[in-house]
Order: sequence, then structure tokens, then C-alpha cells
Amino acid sequence: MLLALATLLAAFCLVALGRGAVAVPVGDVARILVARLPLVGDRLLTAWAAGHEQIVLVVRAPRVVLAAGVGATLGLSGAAFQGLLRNPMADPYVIGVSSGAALGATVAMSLGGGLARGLVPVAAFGGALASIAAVYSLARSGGRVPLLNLLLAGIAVSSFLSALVSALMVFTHRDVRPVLFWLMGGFGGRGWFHVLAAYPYMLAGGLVVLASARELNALLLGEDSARQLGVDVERAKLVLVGAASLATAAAVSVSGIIGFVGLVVPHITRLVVGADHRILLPGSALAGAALLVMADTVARIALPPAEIPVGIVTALVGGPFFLYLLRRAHSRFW
Amino acid sequence: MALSLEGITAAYGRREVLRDLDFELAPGAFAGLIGPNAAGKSTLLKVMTRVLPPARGRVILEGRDLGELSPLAVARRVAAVGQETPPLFPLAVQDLVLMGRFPHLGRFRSEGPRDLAAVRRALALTGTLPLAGRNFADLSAGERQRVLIARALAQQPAYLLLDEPTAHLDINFQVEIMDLLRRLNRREGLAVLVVLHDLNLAALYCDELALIHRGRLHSRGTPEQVLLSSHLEEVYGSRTVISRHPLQGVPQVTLVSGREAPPEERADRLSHLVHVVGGGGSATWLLEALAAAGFRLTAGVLNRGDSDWVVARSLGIEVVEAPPFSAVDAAARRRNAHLMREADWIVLADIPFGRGNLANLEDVRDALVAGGRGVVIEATPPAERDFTGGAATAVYAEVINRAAEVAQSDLDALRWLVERGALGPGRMVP
Repeated sequence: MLLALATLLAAFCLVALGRGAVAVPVGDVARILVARLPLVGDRLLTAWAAGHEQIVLVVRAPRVVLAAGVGATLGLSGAAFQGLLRNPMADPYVIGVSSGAALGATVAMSLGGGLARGLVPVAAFGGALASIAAVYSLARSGGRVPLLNLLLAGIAVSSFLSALVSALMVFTHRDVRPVLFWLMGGFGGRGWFHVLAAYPYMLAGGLVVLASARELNALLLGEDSARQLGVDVERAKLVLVGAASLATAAAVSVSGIIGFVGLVVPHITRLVVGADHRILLPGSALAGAALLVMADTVARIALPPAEIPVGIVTALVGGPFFLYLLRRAHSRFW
Repeated sequence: MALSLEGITAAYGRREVLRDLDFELAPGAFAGLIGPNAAGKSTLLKVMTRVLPPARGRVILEGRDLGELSPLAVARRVAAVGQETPPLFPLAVQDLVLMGRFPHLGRFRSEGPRDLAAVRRALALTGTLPLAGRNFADLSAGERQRVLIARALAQQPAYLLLDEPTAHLDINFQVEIMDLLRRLNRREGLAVLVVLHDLNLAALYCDELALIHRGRLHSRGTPEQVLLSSHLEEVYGSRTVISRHPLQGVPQVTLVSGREAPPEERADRLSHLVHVVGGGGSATWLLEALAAAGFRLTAGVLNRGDSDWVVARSLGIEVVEAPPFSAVDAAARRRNAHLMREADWIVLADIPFGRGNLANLEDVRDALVAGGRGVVIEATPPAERDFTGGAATAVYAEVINRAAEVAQSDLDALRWLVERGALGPGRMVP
């Protein structure tokens, strides 16, 4: 099943690299990519149209790689938060990552100027980390962090920060469209720089979450039950919340707030592979990546030359698909 | 080498749930934890599995303080089956049981053949092998409970703690689960501690019981020692009658309806007054049973502290008593003789006779000679019960001659008395 998902992801990537204002045949895309590999690359004929290599490798590849990474991170973190909080409504933003990032980005954009614009990802990352730290310390009581506290503190901090974002947008009297666009998420104009900036955090956080699959399984039957299996529950919470939030913060800082993926991809994956986190976590990562690569391609090519915010596409495509799966499996679900 | 609690006080926040409690679960033991709701039974299990650190006192696992052991080290020796919380998402039975291997696996080691063998064995022991591929949520309540026990067994523990594993189960599943636990205890040598609501189930299966009352240990011992109606009235505030299981012989608890009037107010309905001559525990069952059947009762002469005396006192009836381990004195004899004259029936229980209570036997004879109606229970030949060198046997023969009925057992005597007692009012006493 994981193999099938990986194949699907690879196919979407090839399509994504080929489609756009300038169409590059899938075969050429494959050859351009293989040519970059050491050893095999040298033996290949360079028989593609001039300029296609530039378009594929410089314009589209970073975007696709970034969309895949962000999608994987959101899917993975969503699955981790749903399992940890034992709550099907949880998503990667549940403890305030998105609103913290939004506030940081809005502040940077309100300052205006080219320098501030370049600082948007940094400010978003900082805001996200600050809000996670605030939520976690607010939720702590008596040496433990009750999961309900974490959920409630996340909601409280999120609404507080969202109010600040709205206030900033209203009172700075500027064109709010760039801010709105950023809030809805997208990969327009992202390059290899963004990939290099975000990937280390997404990879590190993602690997830690993947390595905690058994703890998440043990937590499926409740905290006490997990403790009786020998899980250090408080440490697992800290590690999982920290790793998933760090990865999400990095993803949000380069892509904006893309909704829906982190909430629904784990559910879709669970319907297909079951709730065992040893398969669910990598499955959600692959499915999230595939969904976002596809959604970003649609966002780019659906209404040329305009670009639709990718969050709108994920919700438009994913929502009906999710409902279809739910209805088909209704007796097995919940 | 056991799992023991020493002076445990445990609290949720400032609310103390357990107070200064000592308890020990020995290797290979089968113990039951009973007590009313909110007595602290589940909290006790949480303390024993390191889920709730005690506020004071220590939990000792095989010589080492539980607080100093890692969660994994504890989970390799002690497994628990909690009150069921269904998993939020669909999960296959085999995956759920495989979770039990958690304490045996390193973070980056995947499950090996040894783990799969342990899972298979756990499934086989609990009879859940055919369910391995099913979704846990689709199983019946009894099957789910067996799967949770299988998960605990996959931990390969030495101590298994269960919190009301038979709650909400039909009687067939209750017996199935308890039989499984006994099999694991007897064949696999697993020490079992089980919280039970059902006192009769506890008596039927557990070798020892601990009765918890308001966070303290009320009493401990065999079911016979713990399940006394006096204990249950103190702890639960309910009136009960303790009888014997017809096959296993263990104590069984019968509830007395709260709407039923206490015995003294029912005097007009079944007014027969029965005087019981017992001692040494010979009349425990009969006293409880006669009280439950609605007879008015007196008893004597009993030594203070004797188990018949304890039961008689707990029933609130008049008892002629003597100091512990001493002969019956003249005043007690007069009082006893008076009660026998007033009684409709004098019941002589299957007691052993020594120098101390020979007077009781003589007074029974005198009462029968004077026209009293006697029922003698002779479950054991009198010669085997005579420790007076023949004196008692001679008196006993006279008693038998004048008795209205000689019963083979307590139950026969009860039946006989209920038939007579129900026929009409007793002999009225001026």
C-alpha cells in the first residue's frame, strides 16, 4: 500500500513538472531528471527542447519539491495530533502554529518594504514557535500536560492571535490582498532557497514523529493504558508536540496556511490502511505529498494566467472525495 | 519477591483517595479487590502500575522501589487491563495485541519472530486466535475483554492486574473471563489481582480477598474471613445473608431487600422464637439463614470473640455470653435456661463438647425434660465430638431421645423449622 502511494506521488510529480504555461512532455521531464543523476546521467542523449531544462529544474522543480515536503509534513503532523489528542477533529494547527505564523507574517508584511517582504518566512517561523511555546506552558499543570488542556489552550491562543491578525489588517490601511493570499497558502514564486530553508526542520521533525509510531499506537487506548505498557507519556507528548509543531511551523513559514490537508489526509489514509500508526504515519505523509503536488498543479494551470490559492483547491478537490470515502465506509468508521 | 504496597497514601490533587494502605500480591497468588464505588480500588491499581505516583509510602516490585524503575522495566513485570476505553479509530486485533510487546522493543528495533510468537501465544491462551484479523470495535464485549487480556499477556508479565474485567458482561462471559484468569493463574503461574464488583464471583474464584473501605484496607484474608455480613454491613451499609455455595462450598452473599422490615417487626408474621446453642463456628450459617427466614432468635452460651458470637452480635439478637476460653458460669447458665424456656424451638448445633461447654448440653437436656421442643443437628457422629471422656455422649443420648427432630445437616434443620414455623403462631409466652 505504501508502495502504491509512493508510485502515485512520483507520477503526480512528473505530471506537475511537465504541465504549465509551457508544456514539457512527460518523457522529456523524466530524461531531464535522470540526466542529473550521477553515473547514469552521462550516458543519456540530451534530446529535449532548449529552455525546457531551465523551466523544469529552476522554475517548477523547487515548487514541486516544496509542495511534496509541505504536504507530507501536514499529513504526518495531522495524523500525529489526531492520535496523540485522541480527537478526530485535530489538525497540525490545533495548538496554534498557524495563527502564530500568521501573526508573524502579517507583522512583517505590514512593515512593508523589500527587506520585510524577504523576512516573511522568518517572521512566520518565529511567530509559530512562540505560539507553540506559549500554548504548551499554558497547558502545563502539576508537572503534567493534560491533553484537554493542550487542546483548550491551543484554541484560546489561536483565537487571541487571529484577533491580532485581523486588527493589524484593518488598521494598517494597506492592500490586504497579499496578506489574504499568504493566509490561504500557496507556492507561487518559491524557489530552491525556500526548499533549503524549510526541509531540515520538516525532515527532522518528520523523522522523530515516524519513530514514535508505537507510542502513538499505545496511546490509542488512552493515557493510563499507555503508561501501563511502559510508555513515558509525558515525554512522548513533549517529543511529539515539539517535533510535529516544528515541522509544521517550517512548512507554514514557506507556504502559508494550507488548510484541509492536515485534517483530512490522515482520515483518508486511515480508511485505506487502518489505524496502526506504523503504517498510518508514512501513509499520511505520502498521501499528503501526493495531494498537495496535485493541488498545486491544478492551482497553477486551472485559470491561466491567474493562480488559485492552493488551500482553495485542496478543499474543493479533497472535500467531496473525503465525503465519498466516508459514505462508502460509514459502518466501519467512528 | 512480590508486588507490595507499604503505607501508601495516594491523592488526586488534594483529595486523598488511599490512606496508609498496606497490601501484598505474592507471586502466583489469585487475589480479589472488593469494596464499594469510590473506595479506591481502581486508584490502587494505578498506584501499583506506576500510573499514579503515591503521595506517601512505597510500592515495592521484587525488592525494588517502583519509582526508581523505568516505565519499561515495570511494564515487563506488571501488566494491567483497565476499564475498557474503546480505541478512537478502527484497529485490528493482532495489531492491538502486538502493542503488548512495547516494553520489550527498542525504539528502532522492529518486531521480530520472538515478538510474533509471544503475540500468537497470547492469542491462543485467550482463545482469540480466530479473531486476529478482525476489527477490535466489531467484537462482542466478552471478546474485547479477552483481547485486552491477550495484550497484557503479550507483555509476558509476572503480575496481571485487572479492573472489573467482568463489568457489563452477561453471566456466560463473566464465567468465561474468570475461568480464563484462573487457568492463567494455575497453569502459567501468573499472579492475578482483580477488582470485582460481584462479591459472589470474587468468593468463587479468588483465593484471597481484600476489602477496601474509604481508601483503607478494611479486612483481608480468605473469602470466608472477609465475606461476613457484619463486614458488608459496615462497608456497604447493606443487610446481607452469607450462605454456602452448594457445589464449591465458598461463601455466597444474598442481599436482603431494603424494603423488608427488620426481623423484630416481622414477629407477628413468623413469630416462632428459636434459641440456638452453638459455638466454634458451628452455627454461623444457621444463625444467618434463620434470621433471613424471619425467625426471632436468641443464642447462648457463646464465648466472646467466637465466630458464632460475632455473627450473633452482627444480627443484633440476644446472646448469653461468657469470657473467651473459659467455662460457662452459673449466672450465664440461668439466663441461658430462661431463654430456652421462652423459645418455641431449641436448636443444638453440630458442636464439639469439652469441659467448657458441657454445661450447655446439660441445660439443653434439662430444657427438653421440662417440655421444650428440640431440634438436634447431627452431621458428625457424637462420639467424634466428645472431648470429655464419655460424659457428653451420655447426656447427648438423653437429648436425642427427647428431641422433636434429628437433622442430618444445617439445611435439613432449616427446612424442618421453616415448615413448622410457617404453620402458625408459636407458643405464646406469658
